[in-house]
Amino acid sequence: MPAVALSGRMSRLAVLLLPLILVACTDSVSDVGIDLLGSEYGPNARSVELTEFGVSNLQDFTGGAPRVLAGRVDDPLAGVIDAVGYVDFSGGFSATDTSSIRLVELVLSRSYVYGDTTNTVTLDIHNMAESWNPSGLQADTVLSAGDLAASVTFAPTDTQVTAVLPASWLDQYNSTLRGTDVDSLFHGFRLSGSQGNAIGGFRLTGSSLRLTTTGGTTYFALSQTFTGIRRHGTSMLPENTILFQDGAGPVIKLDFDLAEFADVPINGAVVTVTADTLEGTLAPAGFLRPQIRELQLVAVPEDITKPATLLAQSSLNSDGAYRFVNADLTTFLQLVFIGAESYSYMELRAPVPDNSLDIALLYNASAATMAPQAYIILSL
Amino acid sequence: MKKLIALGLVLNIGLADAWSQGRNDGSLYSRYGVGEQYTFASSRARALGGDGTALFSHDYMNFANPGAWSRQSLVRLSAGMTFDRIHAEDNNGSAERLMRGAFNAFQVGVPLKSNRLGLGLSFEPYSRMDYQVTTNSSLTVAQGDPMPYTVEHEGTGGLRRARVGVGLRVLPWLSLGASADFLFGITEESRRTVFESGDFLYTNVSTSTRFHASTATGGLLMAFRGTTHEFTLGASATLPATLKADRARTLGESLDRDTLGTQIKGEVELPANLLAGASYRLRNNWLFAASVRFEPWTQASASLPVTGLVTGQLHDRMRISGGVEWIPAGISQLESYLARIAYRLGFYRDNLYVSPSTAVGTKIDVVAVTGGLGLPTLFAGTRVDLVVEIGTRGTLDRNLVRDRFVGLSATVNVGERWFVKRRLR
Repeated sequence: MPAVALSGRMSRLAVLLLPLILVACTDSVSDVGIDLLGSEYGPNARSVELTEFGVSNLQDFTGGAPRVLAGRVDDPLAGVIDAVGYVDFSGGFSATDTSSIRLVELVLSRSYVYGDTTNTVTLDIHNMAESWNPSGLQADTVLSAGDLAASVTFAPTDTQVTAVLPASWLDQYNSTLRGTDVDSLFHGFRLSGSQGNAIGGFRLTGSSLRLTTTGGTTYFALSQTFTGIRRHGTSMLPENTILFQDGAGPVIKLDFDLAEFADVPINGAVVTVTADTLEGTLAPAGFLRPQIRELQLVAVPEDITKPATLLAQSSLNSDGAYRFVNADLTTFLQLVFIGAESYSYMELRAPVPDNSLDIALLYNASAATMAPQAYIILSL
Repeated sequence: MKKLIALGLVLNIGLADAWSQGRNDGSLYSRYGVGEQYTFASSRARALGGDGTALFSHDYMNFANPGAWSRQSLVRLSAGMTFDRIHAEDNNGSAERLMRGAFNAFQVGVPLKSNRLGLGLSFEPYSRMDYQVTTNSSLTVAQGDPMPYTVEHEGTGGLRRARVGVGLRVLPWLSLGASADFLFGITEESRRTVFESGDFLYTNVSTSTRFHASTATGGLLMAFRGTTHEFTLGASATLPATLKADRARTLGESLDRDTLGTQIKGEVELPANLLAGASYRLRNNWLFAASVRFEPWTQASASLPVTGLVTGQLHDRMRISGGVEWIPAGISQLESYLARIAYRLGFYRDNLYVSPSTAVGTKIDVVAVTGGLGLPTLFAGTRVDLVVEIGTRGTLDRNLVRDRFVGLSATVNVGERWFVKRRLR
């Protein structure tokens, strides 16, 4: 019967096609009924209490940096700072064996200055008596030096400083400089300020020990550096501020009360520290005091011998604030909140790969609206 | 054909259940409590308004009342799925068309003693949670610039119910039945937050709750037959159940998840379920059925946070349903195909057991008309049932949501004479 045959086909179709029809359904996204969710529907920012904002004892690692500092500054804001630079060279005597050395010069390519630029600076150049390794050396390290080899006086704004080593020095090192084991017998110089009120920074590139011979010019390239930095006395800081200074220190130790966020999911974190840019830059005429343009927020591990974790980096904003906010910071805090990560405290550090004495005059926790702030964006 | 039907059943159950467990779009009201309740007594009952407590038939199992399982002469398998299209709107002028598909039920009936003692087994949804809501906004932190973000709320899963029981005809007019009911399932609610800025993390916070409970259902049917008619009264009751709940909160996607906090254990007290109904069959052509269901949800409670399951937001559920079936040919197999089709029409009025916190005290009503066709097949005792359901749920008052839905379900009811020893006469 046709009707019965139709029923068989209908049954088959109903049985087989229904799953296909259903799988073909598409999802859609709707905001219908969002009011029913009440106030639960979005993330919200919660202010976090600052528990620490002070000086950290961290010493900057200045060994092996591509810039070496030397000189002395008496800064009315930051106090007296001595920077002692150590330099060593590598290379070989490239002139003919019969060539005689007529002149030896220490050539330094200046790329940084901090202090009074209106007067000259004199650096004493001492021989280094022993070999030294810059790797891992921190700014408070003191290396012993030998005899005074020479002194050089220059204007802090000069882009190149050339110190002529005396004939007596040449006589002493003539054979060493011509030999094949110059690297093991000659250990470089110590540069320290003796006069003036500025610290210069000299970069590896363009700095050398230049030998003028009868057969041409030979260069020993500046190959290793270290800067020892020492602060004398105390800083004279405006009220409710704390000084951060690259190289000389201090760096800033900070932390927040995060206990209430255990096992809480978060979307973000914002940490803001504000600098007094007026005081920070206000200096006597001709006195250069570079301001730190970038700051890093790092987490110091519980084992402080291990490297810190970089959480975020911020440029100085036009409003004088460094605002740390990025996915790495959020991820780190989220791991802390769920117990998968831990740290001892946080620090503000300068990311500048070259040594510097740049400063940031930061408002401390007593500075009311300018005090450091942190917000956690909760994903509730 | 049998192989085809078997393949279809497997496909339906597998795909539909996987679909219902996965991402889906349903009513936002499924967010509350343990999800939107779902009952499926039989495809026939569904077309007649839903409950069919007093439906007594050789051709359909009736899982609203285990007393009805006594009247079985064929081994019966039933499975199907439902496809809903929902038009949801709210008072803000937002509207959305949603679709969802879900597994109906898998039901088995075995006559242990023909028309006297029957076994019933079923695996069916008890509740389902399948909603999605998305909002766009922005957050301003410490006088900074507004940071736009999107939050997507999603709920999936639900409870399943497995039942096994027997129905016994103790007197020619009285059948009793009982079943052991096991409730189990997982609901998962997730919230995905995405900021436009790459400085902020995308988060997916999920709360997954695993439930299980056991309870029991008892039922009775009183059938009074005349020469051309049968009048049936039926009632059933399911005992209150204590759902044991284990809840875990996670952060992350898929297998890459971190557990937030410790697992929370708790209990959800589900109320009893009471049904009563009547049906009247006239000359095998007409059937009239009516039922009422009552669930005292105001007695429900939870020892762990369950959205909406708090005093003030709960309402006793009262569901009234009724319908009529017409088979022009009655039980005759000789009439035309169209005359052998069962034509059904019904209605129901229901209310949700929970209302949103923003509309405490407002009952969310559900009103629908139902209808369907019972299509006979080449095989006596086997029908394919199509059911359509058109109704509304909720209101636009008090910032609530009104769903207008059209549901279509297809169910295969297979009846076969199994386990019968062939004898020579």
